[in-house]
Amino acid sequence: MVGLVLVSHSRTLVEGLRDIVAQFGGDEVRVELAGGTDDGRLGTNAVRIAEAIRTILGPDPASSDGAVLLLDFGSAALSVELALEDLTEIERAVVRVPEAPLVEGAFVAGVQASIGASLDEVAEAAVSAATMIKLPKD
Amino acid sequence: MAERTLTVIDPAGLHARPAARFVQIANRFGSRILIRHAEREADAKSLIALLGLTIRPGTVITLVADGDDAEAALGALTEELTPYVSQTPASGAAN
Repeated sequence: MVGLVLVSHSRTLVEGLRDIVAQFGGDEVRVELAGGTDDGRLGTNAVRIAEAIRTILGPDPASSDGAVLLLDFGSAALSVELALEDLTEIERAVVRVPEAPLVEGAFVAGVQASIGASLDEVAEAAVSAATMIKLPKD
Repeated sequence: MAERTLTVIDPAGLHARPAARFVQIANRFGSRILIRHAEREADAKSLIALLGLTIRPGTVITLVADGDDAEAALGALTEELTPYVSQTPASGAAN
């Protein structure tokens, strides 16, 4: 099953988001968090992001179902870029970073992962979350 | 082709929790499954499409399945929706 890596400036934000994924996607969806700095401030941390990705991929990334990474904004993108540079080619091949909203993307991607969808399908579901209709039209 | 017409009775409509469960169950079946609401329809296997229908309480929805396991799929989906819907008699079907 594809796993999710949730990256935010805020640790508590991604902790709450992990609860949402577990509630809607189910407990079996694997979620790793990279929120805030090591000393508990708001910020992003490339080392922690790389660690979170590797935890999802496990010891044999070539046979892993992969990881979809979702981020909030701003410097999170830079930290993600640094983290991706730290990965081996084999690890990088099974990571997707879709252009997607963090909260809605994690919700939709979590459900998509739970039905056994492929890495690209989960990433596409996250992208589609950007166009989620929330308010009734009538 | 199998079909069920239901009325959503949950005060929150077909909200995120049942929608997510609905999509998970729909994906266990090979049949093509649609959910119709008013003049719109959505792929029942797509959460984003389903949420896009913004189904409100009191509205009539129709589940349509086409494939070898269509009947089984609609049986499972109707059962999952039980707390949120009432069974609408076929004579009152919107479609």
